[in-house]
Amino acid sequence: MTAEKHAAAGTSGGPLGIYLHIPFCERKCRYCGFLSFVPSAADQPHRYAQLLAEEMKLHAVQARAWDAKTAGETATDACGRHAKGHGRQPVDSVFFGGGTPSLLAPEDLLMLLDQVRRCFPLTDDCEITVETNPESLTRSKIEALLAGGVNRFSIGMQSLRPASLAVLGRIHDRERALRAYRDLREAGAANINIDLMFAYPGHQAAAWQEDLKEVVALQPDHISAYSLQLEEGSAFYRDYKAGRIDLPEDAQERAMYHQACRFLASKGYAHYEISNWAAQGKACRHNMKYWRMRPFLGLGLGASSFYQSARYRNFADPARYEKALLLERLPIERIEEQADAAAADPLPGLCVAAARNPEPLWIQEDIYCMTALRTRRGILYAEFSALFGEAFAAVYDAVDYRRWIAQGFLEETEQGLALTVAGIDRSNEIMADFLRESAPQSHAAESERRTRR
Amino acid sequence: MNTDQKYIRNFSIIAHIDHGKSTLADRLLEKTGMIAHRDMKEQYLDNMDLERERGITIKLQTTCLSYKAKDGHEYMLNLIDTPGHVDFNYEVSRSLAACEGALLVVDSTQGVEAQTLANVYLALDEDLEIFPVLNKIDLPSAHPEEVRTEIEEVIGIDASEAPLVSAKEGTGIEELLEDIVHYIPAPQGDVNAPLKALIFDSKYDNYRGVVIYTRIFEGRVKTGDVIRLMNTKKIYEVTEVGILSPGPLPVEALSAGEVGYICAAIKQVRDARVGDTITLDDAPTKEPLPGYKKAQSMVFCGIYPSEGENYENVKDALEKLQVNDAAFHFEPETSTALGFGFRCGFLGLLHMEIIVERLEREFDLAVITTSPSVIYKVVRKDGRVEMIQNPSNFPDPVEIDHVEEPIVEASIMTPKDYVGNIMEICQGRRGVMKNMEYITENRVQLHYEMPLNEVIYDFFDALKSKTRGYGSLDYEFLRYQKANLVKLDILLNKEQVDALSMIVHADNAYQRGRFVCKKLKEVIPMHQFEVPIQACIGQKIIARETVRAYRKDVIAKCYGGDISRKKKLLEKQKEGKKRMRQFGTVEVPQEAFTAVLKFDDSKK
Repeated sequence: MTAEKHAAAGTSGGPLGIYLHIPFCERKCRYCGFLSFVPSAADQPHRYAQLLAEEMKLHAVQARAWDAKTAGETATDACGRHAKGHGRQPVDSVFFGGGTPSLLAPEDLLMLLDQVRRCFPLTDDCEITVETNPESLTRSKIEALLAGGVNRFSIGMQSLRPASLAVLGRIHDRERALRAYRDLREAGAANINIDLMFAYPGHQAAAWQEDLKEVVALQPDHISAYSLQLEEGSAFYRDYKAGRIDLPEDAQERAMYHQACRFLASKGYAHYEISNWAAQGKACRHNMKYWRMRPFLGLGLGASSFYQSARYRNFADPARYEKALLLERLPIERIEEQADAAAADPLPGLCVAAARNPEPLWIQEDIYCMTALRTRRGILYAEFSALFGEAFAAVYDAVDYRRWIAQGFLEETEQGLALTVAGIDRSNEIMADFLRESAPQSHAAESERRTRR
Repeated sequence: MNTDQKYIRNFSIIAHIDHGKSTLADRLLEKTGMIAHRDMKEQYLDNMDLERERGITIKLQTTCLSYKAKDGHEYMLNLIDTPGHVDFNYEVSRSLAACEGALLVVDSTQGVEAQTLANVYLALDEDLEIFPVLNKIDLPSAHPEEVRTEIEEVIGIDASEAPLVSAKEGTGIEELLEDIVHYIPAPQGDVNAPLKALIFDSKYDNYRGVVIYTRIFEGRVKTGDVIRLMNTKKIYEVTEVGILSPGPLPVEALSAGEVGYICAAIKQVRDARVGDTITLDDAPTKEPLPGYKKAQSMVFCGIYPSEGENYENVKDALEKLQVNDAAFHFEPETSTALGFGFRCGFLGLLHMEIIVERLEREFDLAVITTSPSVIYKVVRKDGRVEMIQNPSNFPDPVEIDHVEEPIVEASIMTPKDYVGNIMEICQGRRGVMKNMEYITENRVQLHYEMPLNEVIYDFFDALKSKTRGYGSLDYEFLRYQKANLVKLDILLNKEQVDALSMIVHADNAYQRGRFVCKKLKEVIPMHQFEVPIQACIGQKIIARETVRAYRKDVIAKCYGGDISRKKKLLEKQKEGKKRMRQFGTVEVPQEAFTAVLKFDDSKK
């Protein structure tokens, strides 16, 4: 092990985040291209929760076995780092996303929360978030969630204008949304996010301003405001392509974005990611993992993981997902072949497969740049070298990012490199600059050497 | 090997697709003990996967059956299987030329079909003894007696002795073997005359070079002989001769009347072209056998490596296919839309589909094919004549005096209920009806003269769709004929996509233009800018559609599951911007090139 490699902490270390996907909705919203659907049978959500619990157990069993096997060994993974299963890797964030997690029955939610604790070592201050929609967030559910240890709630409010809610295809109304928020506060929820959306068909600056004002008046701890994305597979995408609906012009859409930026800043919210604002100390710990190359395990249908520096995705097909779990296998795409490659190993688990198949370092670096630039802190040079064992300046020597600095879209400090608010409007282009087309020479040689070893 | 000619029978099986030819051949093999039943893959003679899957024989196989007849003698039955498709008519005719007789297999549930007739005429041209066989009598819908009458009425041959068989169940096979011995004439050729042998097939073998399948008409040939191919005028030394039983079995010599193979270290299949005559270099026969034709490509298309596919790999694969297929040609070409690729020539549409499928399956390659085209004869104003098969090479309309296109004679056979539908699709494709005859009370044969470019466009799909699969088609090149043809170009974002250009009749140009634009609009994804799709003739725009813009330059959401996808999106945008400088700006999915060829069911 070289000194340089030793210095790199790598992207597999540090506390883990856990994401649990609940793919059910009462109705599909018009903007939604996510993996979610209306349950086909009344007991489908319940059965799904059972599968999810089974998946957690499998992970725990395999990780513990892996830990036992590697205990006392100075086992190192392909990057020369200590390979370590999550059997003892602490978890400091859990996120129930969807879909609509609040659609699950209170006992299923409690069972899942309980199972998370049983299977993973949660830290004392673990952030536990549940995404909810106002319609399904009843008082009994709120109480169950709080009792189960949920300490952060996210409400999919989107808008408080009845006309907007109709356009978006939401099932709740303004009063239901306000009541859900109030109920949460009254029950003692101390950390609440409100999701908003703007620049959808027919949306105007005036209506947007009213939404912003009214929502800020509620004093949520966190606000996510998303410009409508036309997701392939969504009703909006089809309608727009067919010419049945129109969207605000780009200039107008950007104006609405900056309208939100100015207003929320004036109310004391810190703009810490392109679409996220938080009160002091309330930035979402879980989402931060996505943007700063920290490990996360995604469980449930179609969920993605970045674990042991490898990227995986679960089966998105419910039948295959279920079948894998019934066979007591992790429901991960392509894991069979990877496990086959490791057939000699008695542990055909994620840990084994991951240790053998990490995401190439140069791709990790590029993704770090792409995601870190989404955040206000931007690319941090010290963090970069700690994660990858290389100096940022040396790696991106060939990228002409200084032209963006000259135009006022990027700013460089001693610590790093971040987008300016104006730069956000050009963020795709700027981020793309940091995405290399092929492996750099030094990495190709490195990977060759590893393979031979 | 010197079997007395009176104990040899050389025969083919001719049939319409699906009438059970290959199954019957398998049964004959099985019954004569050539292959054990348990070793049999179904339809042994169709040895390409593709053929087995589609149930059609493309490349012929030949085998020698040894049969002990009831008269106590051992007969050598050479079964020369023939390809079952109109694209391979020439190959069929050469195989038939190698025989004295043919079994005409007719499905007793279906009756006589267009191809049955076409093949019978080919066999009659070669003066073969035709012996009808009624197959599939095991099926409840079989009506053999009616079919027997139909054969007599339509084809005009005696079918009273036609045996009833079920190749599938193996009934009637024993009797059929006796019938072959009895009805098919024995060959008669002078063993002592100079060598005269017909190449009726050839294939490439990695170890032995080209293996020629041949029928010896006169004389004999043995290992060490120096042979001459009379049409290509090439000379080779024979390294091996043998018979097919059904695997290759070397023998000392092949003599008049026999069928077998010859190896002579020949490197390319095209050097031993089907139809050529083999003789001895030092003692040649006077006249070659009649009927030799050079392979003539009728249909052309571009084949390009798909995104991420290697040009060299495609080239290697095409070379390998060419070595084995004298009728397939290719040469390099470049398209601004698709990059480096190949212009390929085929005997017909099926041949084209086969080659493309083999590239995909046997070579595991991803390729894009462009619209098939035929050869147009372009007469320029200055009198120069050009044969053009790539629409991109069409001259500027102002330089053209006139254009001629190939016309074929198409025979379509159909149950009478669909005659109206067929007339409609033929008329819509510039067909001119020559005549119509009732084959039986319920079945009709229509004769049309039709431009080949209409036949290769979507005619076959239309025919199948409008006759519920009952219509059958056969066609043959007739002549070149003057026509009002124009080049239809497609512009995406004002840039011409050369690979989408096509030659169409002026009267259909508007309709075709609108159709192509509409199809492209469906398959081209939204970009960050508006994409106009235009169809034009010369400078004149005749149809237009627009793919709306989707312009955001900011990704609003990027969480765990989005990361890989969003990274790809950024890479695509970046690539798009780079390409913008090179050519056009629009990402054209591969399916666009095939989508415009699909039969439009809404169209009359």
